[in-house]
Amino acid sequence: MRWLVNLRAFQYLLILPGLVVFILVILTGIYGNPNGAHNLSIVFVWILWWFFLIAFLVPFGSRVWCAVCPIPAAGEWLQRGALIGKPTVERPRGLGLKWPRRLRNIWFSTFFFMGIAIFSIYLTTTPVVTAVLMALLIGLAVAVHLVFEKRTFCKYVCPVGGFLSLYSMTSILEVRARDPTICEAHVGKECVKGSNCGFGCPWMNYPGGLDRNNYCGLCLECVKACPYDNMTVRTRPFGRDLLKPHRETAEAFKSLIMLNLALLYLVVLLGPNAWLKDWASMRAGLPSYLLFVAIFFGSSLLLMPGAFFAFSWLAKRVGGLKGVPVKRVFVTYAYALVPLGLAAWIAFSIPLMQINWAYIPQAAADPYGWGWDLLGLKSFSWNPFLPGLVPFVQASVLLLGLAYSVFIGSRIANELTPDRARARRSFLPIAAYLNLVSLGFLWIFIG
Amino acid sequence: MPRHRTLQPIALLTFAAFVVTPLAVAGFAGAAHVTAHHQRTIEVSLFQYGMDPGVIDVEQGDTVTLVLNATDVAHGFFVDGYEIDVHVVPGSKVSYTFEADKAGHFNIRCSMNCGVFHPYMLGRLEVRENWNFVLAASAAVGLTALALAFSWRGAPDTVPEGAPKT
Repeated sequence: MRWLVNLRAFQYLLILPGLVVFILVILTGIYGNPNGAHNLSIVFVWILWWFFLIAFLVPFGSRVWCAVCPIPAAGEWLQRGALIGKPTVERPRGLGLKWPRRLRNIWFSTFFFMGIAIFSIYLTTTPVVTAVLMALLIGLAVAVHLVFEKRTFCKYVCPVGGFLSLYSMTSILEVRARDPTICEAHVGKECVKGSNCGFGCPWMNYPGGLDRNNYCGLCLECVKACPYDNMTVRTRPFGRDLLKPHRETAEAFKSLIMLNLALLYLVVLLGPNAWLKDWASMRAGLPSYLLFVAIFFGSSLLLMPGAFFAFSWLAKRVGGLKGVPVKRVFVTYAYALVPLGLAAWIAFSIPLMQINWAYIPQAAADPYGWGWDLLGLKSFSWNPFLPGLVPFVQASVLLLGLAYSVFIGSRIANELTPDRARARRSFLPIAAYLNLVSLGFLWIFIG
Repeated sequence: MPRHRTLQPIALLTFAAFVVTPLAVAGFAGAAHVTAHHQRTIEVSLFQYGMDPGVIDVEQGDTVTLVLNATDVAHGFFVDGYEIDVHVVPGSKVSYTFEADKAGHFNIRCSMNCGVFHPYMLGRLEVRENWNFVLAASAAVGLTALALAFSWRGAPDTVPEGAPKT
């Protein structure tokens, strides 16, 4: 495997198949059948890609999608002046500006994600909307690459990047220094500056000091560049990064926003109330849609975080955490929501695949929905796979997420006070919050 | 005695109280369950992108006759877990009779591609005498207790980096 990773064309080869599919997604979205179930763009992006991203790539591969993603490819190639090899220009092309310091977090990405998610009922059903979004993202990525340095787009702008950053903390895969003391003593720092063998970290990290997955796109340039062969890809237990005492308000809010959106989408999109879908799709008129927008943002930014703040205040009181600000309790314990949030999103995505899997071979056979049968796969008809089990699979995944959240949260508690008994007491209100939110999900799945 | 030694039995008792007991009760209740079976006829209108009523409520053991009509375009009426798949075209009513023998919460979805938001055309069949939620909720509390017991048992003795010193 080592020779493969060291191959200069390694990442190019990873991106290339995705790029072909991506171009096909844009073409089929624009020129193909406007009915999403008969169009490759909707089926491949919102059933196949989304399910594998959230259910497999993130928990088992961290941000490995970022290594494969074709969206920033054109921008990065332009910036480097090279497709595969080392830079053909002395300095990277473009202005190479630094991203504003105040925005070096996932706030921008979170609001970008929410701005797109508000149209998700159209995005996930209407091919041309998906195609236009993908084309716009490529254009934006090129522009950001030409104005700002390296992978600023992926790190701070990409709407998917925010939740990949958060949920990659749960992953069992990490890129780390084998022996950090070698990195500390090493003066050359090729992993940052680059060398004849590899670029300096495109994500603007110091790979030798990596201790969280959040901003590592697994491009493996550091593995190529390190003269001591000290960088490695390795496995670890689930959720280890969540125990690191590095806490950010933007990430705390992101964990609450994602949890809220999973709940909201389950109620609105996958619930039995047609009137809610009419609100979300503007079919009931602009005022109803604006009310939906208000609920979308209000519940994500005020209601869910507000309730969690109240439980954090309780945690401070019950645990007797004198001298620890409630905001710190709030931000610290919000990381305990991450496994539950990921589980909720996996549970949301399960029926997409279990019910609609047959659309995938159909779309491969007839990408434009024009009646082709390229691979002889057109004969697959809509045939849900064990649909009666869907609620039980969803409930089981959610319960697993809850158990892991409780486990992580009870460990996080020790960060707030060295007194073990107080730490345990302070976690009890948070455990109650986790249970209440879980009961909400379980009610939707099997209630 | 270390505190976690006293907490572990409490956690295990909670687990027993919230997981084992409801399972046993559910088992006995299921075995002893005798219901008066009803004949029910329910009219359901299917439209882009929903159904009326959105939630169909019946009792376990009921014989249910659904009278389906499509008000705009052709729709399918597919019930997860009940193997019901009925197609309805506008202008005609289709009756379908089944016995609601499985308790629980079952999603109903359109099985004919009826338009742009077709994937989100869903309803719900609620067959009461449903212990699933009670069991799952108990499991949530029980798992919380178990995870706490597990975590506290193996908690490191050292104070983590970043913890305030008192």
